[in-house]
Amino acid sequence: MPKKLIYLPLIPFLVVLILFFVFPLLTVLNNSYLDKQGSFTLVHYIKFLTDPYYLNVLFVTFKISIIVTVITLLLGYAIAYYVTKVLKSKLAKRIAYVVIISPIFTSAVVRSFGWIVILGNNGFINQMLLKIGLIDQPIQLLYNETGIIIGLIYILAPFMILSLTSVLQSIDSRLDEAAADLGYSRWKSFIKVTLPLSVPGILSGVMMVFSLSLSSYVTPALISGGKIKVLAMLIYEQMTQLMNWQFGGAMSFVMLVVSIVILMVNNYLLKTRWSEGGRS
Amino acid sequence: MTSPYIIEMKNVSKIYGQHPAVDNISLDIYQGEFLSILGPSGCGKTTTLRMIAGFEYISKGTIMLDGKEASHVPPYQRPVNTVFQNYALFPHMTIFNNIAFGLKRKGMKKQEIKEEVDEMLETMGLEEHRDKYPTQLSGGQQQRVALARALINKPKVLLLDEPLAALDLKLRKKMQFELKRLHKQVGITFIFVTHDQEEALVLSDRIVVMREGEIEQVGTSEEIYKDPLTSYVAQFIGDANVLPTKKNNDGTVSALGYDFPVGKTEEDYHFIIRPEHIELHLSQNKNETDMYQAPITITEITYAGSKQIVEVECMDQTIYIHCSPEQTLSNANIGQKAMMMWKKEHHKILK
Repeated sequence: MPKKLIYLPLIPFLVVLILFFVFPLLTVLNNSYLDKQGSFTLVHYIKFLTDPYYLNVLFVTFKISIIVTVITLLLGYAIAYYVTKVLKSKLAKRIAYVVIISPIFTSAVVRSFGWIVILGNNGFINQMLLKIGLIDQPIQLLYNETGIIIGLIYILAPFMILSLTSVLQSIDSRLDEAAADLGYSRWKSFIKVTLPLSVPGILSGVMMVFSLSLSSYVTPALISGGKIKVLAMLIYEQMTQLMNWQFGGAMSFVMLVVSIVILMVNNYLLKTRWSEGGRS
Repeated sequence: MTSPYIIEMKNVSKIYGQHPAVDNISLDIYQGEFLSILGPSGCGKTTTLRMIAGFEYISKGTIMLDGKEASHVPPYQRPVNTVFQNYALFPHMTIFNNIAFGLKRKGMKKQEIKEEVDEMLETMGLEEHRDKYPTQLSGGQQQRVALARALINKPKVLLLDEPLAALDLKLRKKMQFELKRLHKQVGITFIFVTHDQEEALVLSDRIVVMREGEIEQVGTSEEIYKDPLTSYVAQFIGDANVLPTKKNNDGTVSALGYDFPVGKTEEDYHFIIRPEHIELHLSQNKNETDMYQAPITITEITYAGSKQIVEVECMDQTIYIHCSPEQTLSNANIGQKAMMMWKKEHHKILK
């Protein structure tokens, strides 16, 4: 069979991809540099990147995404480490994986509403804290950045945990023994051996969580009740409510570029630093 | 007071759940000796090694390392280093950094580390691989890196967990000699775990034969080979014909037509003789000699290069005889009756 024929079965998928993904994307991109009359202009980009209101939304979106990514990484690493390295019984591991993955099977809308119930002034957390006497009046957890951050961490944590567990699992436990043998305590061995070897998992987890929170819409929209605007909400507003396809397209494209840059940095880091060492 | 022992294990057990992996063993290991722990998989040899390294804490008994009680000292504080079965080299570090890893922990100056590691790389013939990563090296080279990484810390004891098992035969033989040379050169105690009896015989000053978590026999290669205490040891070290015996009422057991005194006992005894200790005579006649002899029927002759292996039948027992390749067996036929003879010091009656 000629080698070229191998690509034949790919054609249907390529057609679908071009028709339903590349084509709409190009339409959006095409709109972004046209004015209402249809001639070339960069005014939308300039407006987005200079107007203090939009810059602030961009700043808030990045801030939320960075905080969410950092906390998810720390939390996710602890959980992934516990599941792969500390839990010994196969059954316990399996249960842990089910618990970690199960939130993904529920719709983000449902989960976000769940958080509204938990975070509200009469919600579970505030009621508990009031009962214990830690606070005198309910703290504001809903309709602000804190709420969005909590909601996003919950929704995105499984992605981080899964990408970390897959890497941690592949690290030979004898490497820890070898480090102990050479004089390294458990903590020092973690810093020198386990942590550097898990960098590929950290990178892919961070990349996924960061780009997903950057583009998240449902959770911020529901939990903030529209009081805090993030980029995706802004785009939605421009496109569907104000029918400003041109400006919405420009914002979409900026967001896409940011995601692609993150992806490329990630790939570059993985290739240069982590490919030659390889894993056994 | 300087003890001749670097390691003293007293009544040491390791129990997983209900099952003892190592059952009440006592073992003293001399300064500077090459000791092999030999046994089939699951006999507790690796567990014993891991208890010395500190990866497993002992369940019962005491273990002294270099004169100090060490039963619950964590591995990173023990004066021992390990060469792991699959080397366990750090995949994210260069060969240089792998070898320097232990020295860095000790807080040595960079320049000193560099000098020592470079010297070690030279001793091991690894200079050209200094800046490569472990996956870029062959099995034998990785093996040498693992040895270098352990030895550079100047441990009092080097533990080797079946380090040659993953190498092919030729390389294994070469590494055996290298290990022996290295042992002479550094002069520290080597404890070598293996399931390969030949490897143990070639390398060791003393061999510990283990079986089902217990020590069956401790001795030099020669003692263990010539003077096995049990039929298990005889069978495990070298080749041996192990034949059942028949108990008689007068405190003897009989095998191959002879009676051997063992005293009154309930236990089963085996008649043991090594194939190279049997002479094959193609004539059927009894010889005038003080050697033991028994009539046999030849069932198979195999030429194996350095020896000829003859399978014979004697009183319904299958026995193997090793003849030198020079002995002319060409006129021997399958099914031919012949005689086998052996000196009385060569057979053993063992439990």
